Amino acid sequence: MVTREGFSNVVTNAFAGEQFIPEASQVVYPTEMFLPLSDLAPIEKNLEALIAGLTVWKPTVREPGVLSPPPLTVEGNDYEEIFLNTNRLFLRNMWTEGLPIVPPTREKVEWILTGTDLPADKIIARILPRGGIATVAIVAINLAMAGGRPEYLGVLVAAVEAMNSPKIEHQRMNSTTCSVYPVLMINGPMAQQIRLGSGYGCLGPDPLHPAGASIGRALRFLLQGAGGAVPEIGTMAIHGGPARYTNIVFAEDEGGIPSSWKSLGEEQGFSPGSNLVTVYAVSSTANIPGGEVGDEVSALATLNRAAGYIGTPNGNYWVQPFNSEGAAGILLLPRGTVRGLSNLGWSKEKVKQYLWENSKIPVSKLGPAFPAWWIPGKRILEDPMPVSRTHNGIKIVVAGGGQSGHMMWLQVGCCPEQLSSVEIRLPKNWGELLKRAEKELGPIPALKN
Amino acid sequence: MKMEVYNPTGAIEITEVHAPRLPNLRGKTICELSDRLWEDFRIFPRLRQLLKARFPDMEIIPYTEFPNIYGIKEDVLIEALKKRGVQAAIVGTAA
Repeated sequence: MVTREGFSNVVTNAFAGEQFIPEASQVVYPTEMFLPLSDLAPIEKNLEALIAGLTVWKPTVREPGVLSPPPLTVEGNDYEEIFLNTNRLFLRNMWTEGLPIVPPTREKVEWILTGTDLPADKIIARILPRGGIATVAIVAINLAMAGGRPEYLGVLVAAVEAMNSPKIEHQRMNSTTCSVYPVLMINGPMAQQIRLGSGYGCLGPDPLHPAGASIGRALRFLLQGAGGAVPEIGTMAIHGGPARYTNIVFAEDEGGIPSSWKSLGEEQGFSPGSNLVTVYAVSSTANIPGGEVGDEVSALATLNRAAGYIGTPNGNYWVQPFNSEGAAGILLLPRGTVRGLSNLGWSKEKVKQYLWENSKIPVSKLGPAFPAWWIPGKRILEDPMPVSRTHNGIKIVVAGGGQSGHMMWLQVGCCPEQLSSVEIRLPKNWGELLKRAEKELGPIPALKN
Repeated sequence: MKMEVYNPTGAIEITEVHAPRLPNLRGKTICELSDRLWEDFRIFPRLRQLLKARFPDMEIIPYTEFPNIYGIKEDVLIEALKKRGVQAAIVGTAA
């Protein structure tokens, strides 16, 4: 491999993801050499290394097998020093983002594992690009680090399963230059039981609903540690972003869904009341001011505002959302908005159809550099261009509390852009877990209308 | 005081082994594979020139005679390499 400084770990990560030993025959040159009008002298200087790479290079491991990292021993004069040393050790190894973690001791991890009936060694996914194997135990270790609790484990396990679906192609989500991150949307009664946000401030932070931050942070640790998504090593996300610290984890406000509208879970093919997580990959969130719906005039004004935000020339719209299963994004509508729309006779389908029609973008506004190559198979360019193949490519989720002042658009990332849902398994001791949580955290906050 | 903590990264399973290297480059057929980025049009010709000077009987098939490897399907690439009798490849550049 002819590669540049700073990229060699990307290469070894990729080899690991392809299930080779994470080593490669590489000759690493200064980055400047790969720039226009550069000095090519390093090529001659490193010629012997290149020849060696073709003739004598050997990896350190030459047989198939499983490489399991052993537990680590951390020393200190007292617990406080051990706590700090563990945090420093994990940061040096690039397993955390730098904020404090809870040391994943055997006691802590065993406590987290009381949140599932699955065997600890059950493999949930191989997380790419590095290819670290996420067993139930590894998922629990990362949840422990993120300050999680046993009752969160089922959501995280199901999310990793959902993320592992070809609908997400998480290796692209994890390694792309687009600053994309997963969104986890939870349906079913367990969401409120474990204190996931669905109302005011549902995307966080919210001390009354701390579950989403821990679950999302644990997922980030898994993507980073098992998956190797460290900037410029395993993820090439150019800007990253604050949402990557905890990703986005929230519940649909099922109590706020009009009776004639389906929940996201139902749209995903699950029966009402099912506990499930739906994973989707987004690249940004946009707050859309003005979600009021008092009469037909204000309803149309609100929907036109949303359509205006949706109808931007985001090149990612014309990749996978143009497949029949793809989605251009998720529109979060609070109770006040959806109730107003429903009372005026707007079905969920009708709202989606209106948004889809009115977010189409004239090709003339896309400019001469419109990237037709984005469209797989160079599908027809429609004028105006819709943001997805059908109106079902605009998803609507009810969340955000009782008011109607704002909406939120979660814009597609750059992966296959489909939604992937998996049912959440509750353990036999669910009631006991909830009782303990109530004792430790206080009563479950009531949902507000 | 000591405390044991778990490594959070998970095991990795190796199912593939790297191909053995060539015993030498004399009389061998190697090729260049490019992602069409990072000055490949200058770097590969210079590499080719230097290698040919050292191994005059080595055949080097330029990257321009193969598809762009960015996003290429593995079986398509393997077929192209087999068709040309390639024994080793230099993959570049940079990214």
